[in-house]
Amino acid sequence: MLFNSIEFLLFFLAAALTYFVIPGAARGRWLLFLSCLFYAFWSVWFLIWLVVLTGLVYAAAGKGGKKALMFILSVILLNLIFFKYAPHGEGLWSRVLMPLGISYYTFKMISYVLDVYWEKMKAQRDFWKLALYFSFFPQILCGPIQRSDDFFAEIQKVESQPSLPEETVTSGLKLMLFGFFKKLVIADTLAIPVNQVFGHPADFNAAAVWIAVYCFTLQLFADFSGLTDIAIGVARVFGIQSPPNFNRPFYAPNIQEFWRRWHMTLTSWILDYVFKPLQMATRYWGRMGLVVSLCASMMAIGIWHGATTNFIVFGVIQSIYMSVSAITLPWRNKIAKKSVRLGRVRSFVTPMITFHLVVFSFVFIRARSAEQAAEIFRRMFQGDWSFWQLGLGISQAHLMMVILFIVLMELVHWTQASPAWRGLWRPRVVRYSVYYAALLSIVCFGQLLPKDFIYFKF
Amino acid sequence: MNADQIRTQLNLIFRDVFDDDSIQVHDQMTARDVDNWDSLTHINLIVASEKKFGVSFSTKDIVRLKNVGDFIQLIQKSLP
Repeated sequence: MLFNSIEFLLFFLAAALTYFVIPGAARGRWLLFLSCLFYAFWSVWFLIWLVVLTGLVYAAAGKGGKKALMFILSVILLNLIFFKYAPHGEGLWSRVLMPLGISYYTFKMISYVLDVYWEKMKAQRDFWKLALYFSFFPQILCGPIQRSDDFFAEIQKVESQPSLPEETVTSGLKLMLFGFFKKLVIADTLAIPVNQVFGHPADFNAAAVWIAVYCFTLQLFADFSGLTDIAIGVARVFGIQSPPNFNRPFYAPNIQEFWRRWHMTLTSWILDYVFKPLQMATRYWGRMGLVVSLCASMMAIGIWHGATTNFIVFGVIQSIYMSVSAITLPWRNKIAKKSVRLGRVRSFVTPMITFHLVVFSFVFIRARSAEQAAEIFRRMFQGDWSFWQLGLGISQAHLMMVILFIVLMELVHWTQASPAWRGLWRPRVVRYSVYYAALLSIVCFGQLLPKDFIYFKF
Repeated sequence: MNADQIRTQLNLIFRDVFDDDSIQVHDQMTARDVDNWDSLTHINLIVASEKKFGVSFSTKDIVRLKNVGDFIQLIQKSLP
């Protein structure tokens, strides 16, 4: 069930209505039942498999020392490697053979097992709570990757509340509305020129290819952050607070800061479970240790997307970006401090440079292979620059309208993140105008036929 | 070596690693409180502390640290 489908909306309605009437102490178990139902829509067999894996994790976590840890980590990783990376064909056949949310429940399982091993938390004694953590339906499709201790605290909170606060529920619904706006109005509209150009780059001139390349970065952001908003909003309707996943990433002054703002829960996971252990292991290697740790972490992010050449190249590019930036940042900071004017220019120029570095690397996420990405780059510098007959499958007026919606989306992000501007949201007329405008935009301009979320396939 | 002595030595290490003589460590201090406390300076702090105090930390020790106070306790526990 995709979030942007009638089936999900009906499921959500029924789930929420039943959830609000059951006693507080039963809410956690009811959420588990709902999550199992959600998962069973995909596949009953994979639900059973998830229960088996959960049983193994439950039995092994915190027991038997390092050998037990290595055993359970191997089981979890082999499960991921087999289902995600072994060739299973394409299209519907691959969907049938891949467990729903395998990447996301794998992350949760590994983080839980390691947190218990490192004694950051005690092993969960209630099997059903652990099962709920791994299968929680708002987060299973595409995250955010919430940490287990945080999630268990949220479950305890909802079970102890006599009733869910109204503002939590309405806040969740508003966030879902914003998420659907981003997905249906912005992301799915931008997908039209992107799919045209990336499908047949040789048919387009340089101007069209450049536009499609920028459009893809914006599409990816609107799609993924929209999906995250829906996931966080759905969880919030059920009283569960989830961690944020995006924080205005395109304004980051350097690539390290970009990754601290983009897919934040994945970055934080990689930092805690890949980067820091590697950094400790290589701490006497000096800068080489830092480079090795950064490269391994960025390659992990690349390969997590997929094992094809384009994702491997994406990982290599991000490794180079991060290594060069991390090593030169102290020196760059020192130079910038010497002049106030230079500092001001830097604060304006560096986000633009970082944005373009990201746009360039994201071509490798959209392309089917490294060869196709290379062809996209070739087309960017060949052919004419006529803007009159781009043939993008979308009129220029429509494209301009989507750009306007993107500006509005960013205004919302900025005003909500800034304490100085948050006051703009206080008057009811402002808030409700924006909500109705978002709803109207979805009805009038939204691409309402269900399309996959990009990060669903990862 | 007691906690105060460790704190004094750690203060010197912090000032050296961050090249900032104004730093004054305290138990609640975290990476958010110090400019340029990133992955590179973090590992430099750990290596410098291991060399200074003649101890060796494990990954398990380091990942559980929440603030400088925890680090001081870890050093104290690790001292021979």
